Amino acid sequence: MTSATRNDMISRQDRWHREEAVALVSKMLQFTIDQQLSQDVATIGPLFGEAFEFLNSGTVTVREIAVQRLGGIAGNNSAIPLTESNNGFAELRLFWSQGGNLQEADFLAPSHVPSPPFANGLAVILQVEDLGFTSAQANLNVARRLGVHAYFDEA
Amino acid sequence: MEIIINGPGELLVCFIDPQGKTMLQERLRVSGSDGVSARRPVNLSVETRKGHVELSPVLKSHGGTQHVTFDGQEPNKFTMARCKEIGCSESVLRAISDGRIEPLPTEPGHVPTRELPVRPQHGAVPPSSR
Repeated sequence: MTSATRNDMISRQDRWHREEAVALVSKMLQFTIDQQLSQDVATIGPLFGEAFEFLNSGTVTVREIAVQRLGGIAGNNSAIPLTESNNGFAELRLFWSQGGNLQEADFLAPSHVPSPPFANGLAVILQVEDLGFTSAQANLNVARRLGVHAYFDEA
Repeated sequence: MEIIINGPGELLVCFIDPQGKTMLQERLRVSGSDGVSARRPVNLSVETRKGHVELSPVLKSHGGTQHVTFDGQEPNKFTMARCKEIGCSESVLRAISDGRIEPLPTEPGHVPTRELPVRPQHGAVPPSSR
């Protein structure tokens, strides 16, 4: 192989890599719910929220999903401690098209490794959920913050 | 009721009883591209030791570029209709219109910074040493 041919190949390869880099778009989706209740309240509903974004029919790789929870629920005059999970529940729902049919893949948090690539991405929905409580005798102190985020690439 | 948020930013919603007292409040923060949206379904009633209490949502604040709806309606329109439905008095309706609904108290030390801190100038003399 001549030096000129090799240089030409390297140049083409470099251009291809640069074009690929330009076409790759990294995206973030994040949703936080900060809930506070008056002490008069004896029933706490379950917490549910979702953030969503439409995609551009590209190939999607989910890079990271994480959920954080701060605070919680305590009985005001209850001798029995309330037991609950340490974290909220979060998942990312990815919708894509395959042969004209709508497909869905769900990814649970936490995850810090890239998912397999999914072609023809249509939309992502990031959901977060936490428990509800009912107390017949005790007033409840509630201050809880629930946050979820996801990073994904679309190429 | 469903709160739909279009666009990134933060909003604060107070849920008041017929006397105008905030029983529940939520601060919702959405981050992402300009096209990001969020949905938060909320039950408009709570149980207290005194019994069942119906609530009305009041949008206290929202991000400048955000568009918010309550069950597909403009928040103010929904709030006024819901307040009348649960029996809020005229004074409560006036307090809502004037933005006088009090959110639940927050610990003073836990209030996040709302403005960007001022960057100190290089070489500037601190006021204490002048």
